[in-house]
Amino acid sequence: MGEIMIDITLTLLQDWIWDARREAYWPSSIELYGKQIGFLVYLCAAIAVIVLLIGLYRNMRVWFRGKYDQEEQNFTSFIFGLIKRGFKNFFSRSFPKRLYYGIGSGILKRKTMQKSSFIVHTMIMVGFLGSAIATLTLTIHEYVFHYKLLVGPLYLLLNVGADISGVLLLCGVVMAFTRRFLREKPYYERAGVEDLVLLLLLLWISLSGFFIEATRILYGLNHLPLDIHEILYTNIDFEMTSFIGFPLALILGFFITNDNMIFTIHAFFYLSHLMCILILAIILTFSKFFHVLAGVGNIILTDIDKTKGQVKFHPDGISKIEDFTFYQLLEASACMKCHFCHNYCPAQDSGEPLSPLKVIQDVKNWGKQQYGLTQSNKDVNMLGEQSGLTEDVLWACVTCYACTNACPHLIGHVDMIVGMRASLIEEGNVPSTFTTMLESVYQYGNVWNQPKRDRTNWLKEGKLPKIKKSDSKLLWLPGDTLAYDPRNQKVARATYEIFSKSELDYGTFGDSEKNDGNEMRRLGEEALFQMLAEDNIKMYQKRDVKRIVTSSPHAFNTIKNEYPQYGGEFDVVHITTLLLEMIEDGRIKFNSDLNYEVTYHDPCYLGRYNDEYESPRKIIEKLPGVTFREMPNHGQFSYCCGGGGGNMFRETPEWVETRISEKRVLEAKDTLTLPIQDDHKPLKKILVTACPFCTSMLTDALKTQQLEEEFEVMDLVELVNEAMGTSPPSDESSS
Amino acid sequence: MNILVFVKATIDRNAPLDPDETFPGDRDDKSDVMTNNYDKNAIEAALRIIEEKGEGKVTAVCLGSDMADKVVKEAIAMGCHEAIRIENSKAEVTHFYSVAKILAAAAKKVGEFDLLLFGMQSYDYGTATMAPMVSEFLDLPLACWVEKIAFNDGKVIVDKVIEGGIRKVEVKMPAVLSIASSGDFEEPRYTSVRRIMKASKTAVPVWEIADLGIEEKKPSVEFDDIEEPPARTEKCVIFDDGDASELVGELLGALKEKGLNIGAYK
Repeated sequence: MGEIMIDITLTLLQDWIWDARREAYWPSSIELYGKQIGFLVYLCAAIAVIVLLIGLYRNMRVWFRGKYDQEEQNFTSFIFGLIKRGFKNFFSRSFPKRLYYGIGSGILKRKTMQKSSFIVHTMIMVGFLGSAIATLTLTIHEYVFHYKLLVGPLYLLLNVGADISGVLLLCGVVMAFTRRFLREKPYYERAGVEDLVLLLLLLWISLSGFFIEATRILYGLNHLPLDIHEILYTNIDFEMTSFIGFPLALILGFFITNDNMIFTIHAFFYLSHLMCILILAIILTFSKFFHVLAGVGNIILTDIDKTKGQVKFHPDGISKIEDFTFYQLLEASACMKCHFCHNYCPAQDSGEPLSPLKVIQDVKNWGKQQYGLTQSNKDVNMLGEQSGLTEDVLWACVTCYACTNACPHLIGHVDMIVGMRASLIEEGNVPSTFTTMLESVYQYGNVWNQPKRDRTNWLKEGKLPKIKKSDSKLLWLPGDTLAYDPRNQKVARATYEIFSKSELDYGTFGDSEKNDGNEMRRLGEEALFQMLAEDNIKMYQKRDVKRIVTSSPHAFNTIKNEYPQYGGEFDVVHITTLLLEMIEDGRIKFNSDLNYEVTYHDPCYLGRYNDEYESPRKIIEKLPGVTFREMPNHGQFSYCCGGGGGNMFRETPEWVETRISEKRVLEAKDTLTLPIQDDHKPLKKILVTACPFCTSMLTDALKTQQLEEEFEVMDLVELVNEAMGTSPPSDESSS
Repeated sequence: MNILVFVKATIDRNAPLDPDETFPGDRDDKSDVMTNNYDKNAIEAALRIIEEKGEGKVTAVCLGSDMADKVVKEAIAMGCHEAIRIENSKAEVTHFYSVAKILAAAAKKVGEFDLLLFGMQSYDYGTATMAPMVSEFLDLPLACWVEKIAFNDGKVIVDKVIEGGIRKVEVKMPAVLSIASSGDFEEPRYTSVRRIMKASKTAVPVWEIADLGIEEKKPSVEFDDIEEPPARTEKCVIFDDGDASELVGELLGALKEKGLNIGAYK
């Protein structure tokens, strides 16, 4: 009995499934209201397409003002190059990475995204794409397959899919509305007319879609039995798969009885739906919605394998639109003002006029201003008040990479800013403190305006081993700041002591060491960087160094990522990596219990630029008696100390109330003064870092914030040295 | 508008000092020589004037040996249109008076100029006498320590620094000005290494002192001998280890021991 029941159900269900058909009885509104409406609709569509094309042309016109791949390349060969590059990227091994970036920033949650923003964006993106695909399929069904495609399960699938997409879009838009206009969100204060219009359009598109569906179903329900393509249907229950449209039709059924009313309502929603889509197409290229095209283009064309630690710019610098590369201008177009870069920018946070978002928008707007539809103003200087890219904006960047790290569209803010700085350098338009520092590097090879012969003055007792010719050894580069800055000379001595106690075989250049050039390049002084890089590479190669260990993450970054361009491939590590190795293989032994409570500040050039987050933390973990606490901003979201990109040497402008370093110190204070659960009372509280610039900046901030009583700033090296104790264990055993 | 800027090659601020040296710019190592930093203010002033006027030429003039080439080329890198080096190998001429004569003669040889600019003093000797002396030899009006420059047909109106204030002076052109290191020209522009590289390829004409038509061949002042001062016998004691109040006591005690009258202290 049961089996028969199941059989009957299955047969019924099968009929139901296989017979499902999209009702073609529905006279399209256009036909219903006569040829005039039809003509108008096609006219509007034509206008929309023309405007869309014009908008695209306008954007592209700016892009093609940028520099091509090679100098003196003509337009056609560049286009071919682009197509080739696109294809190559599409079919190369980097494709999964690109797909990950594309989908990753749109649908999956990227780490930089806040949870709610990612959910909202996913809903809108999936909803919009799903609805668009459903509508397109219908068109194909009607015009290409002549009503023979969407039959049976395929049709039901479409019904379900379309309604799910519609619901996602609707909910996403509503959530976006609340996020932008109802919830108090400081960084959405700029949400304006553009956001409102776009969201209203999307809202109406999704709502009217449901009503169009409902009225169609309602008509069918009212006219049973129904003839669909010469098959007589007594019921259209399969339409229940439109799980929103069907109930809506039933509800509408209570109010709407006659056919004329259904037609009128359907026509209203149908036409407004269509118009909204046309308006969307019209404003597509003029609004942030353009990111759906430019963003995809950028992800396909961008150089995804570019190392983070390299900054790329033309040595002439960027002072006008024509100086950007094609790809940079494309990037600028892809910006959809998501504000992630703006929110993560420490300079912006401290009250500087710099906002990475605004820089990109300024570039984009300047390009459009100079190259409109018809007029073109060639070679107009853009740096200054006229575009908003003033010197104050450009020098405020600490090159901490937080903006590019946060950008879902792979926009290279830092490269653009450094490029524009290069043109300021070329003109000589440089703050006087930078002038002193750069001239000092040119003349004396160090940033501190000190004589070369004083470079090893930090060493009070003992002798620094010198590396000799073809002396295959480990080279230690203390760097300028460790050598000359009084606070950091302590770090230099601590490093020296560690090396002596652990009997490390190493060498230094002594007085003849030179600046590494990382900061010079970030300031846009490319020629000086090249000079230093070439000199240094020659020096390292002449001494045939086996391995390089640097005390500064800045030197580490440039030697690792930028020297290879000038023919210098070296095995280079930062001091924390070397120390961890030495601890792990037992060359460093800890003898004294520290009883400290510490938190760690990630230097930008070690963490974000070179993904070295673990070694310092592992060392801290191994230090005896040290309790570790993590600050809220850590790892790739670490705050900056404000000393990167040469800003260590910049006078803080008067509009900055709390400097970047001070903000960081206050955050450390909050972390370090959290109540401790057990009665354990640490001897000292310490903010640990691993970069001379950070140590120096944070120590200063500690003084200005009068927090010296609360905690100290120390380099990790100093902690390791302290934990090793005063007398070296090896000496004890030998004596 | 033609402007002549006189620049000096001085000893680098970080170079080791040598008491036997008579002409500080004359060193064997190029890295020991630098452009007198006050002269950079003068170059900056000249370049700004030209930029504002939109026409004209800045020529840098330097007296020195081939070590001074670096200085001349830096002036070109900064933006000077031309440069002249007057050969002074083996430091033939060392005294200010003779140098001023040579510079005045060089200016005469150049002929067409509206302004002669100097830095306010030199980094090494710091006598600040070159501008006044040259103006005297050429019989031209002079304004020293100029902070600000404005033009009014054929005349130049300058703000010059005087003790406790600024004096506005109107000077007829051609004139000699020495530019202060404060005010409008306080921050000379940065010269990028690229510009220095480019400038290092330009050829600079070298003039001989003999061609300038100076009557006095012999330097008017000669250094006889340089003696070191007698070595000190007193030793310097620094009291810095311990409590401040105790240290003050120790210090006063030591002073009293030396026989110094320190009043009521016992």
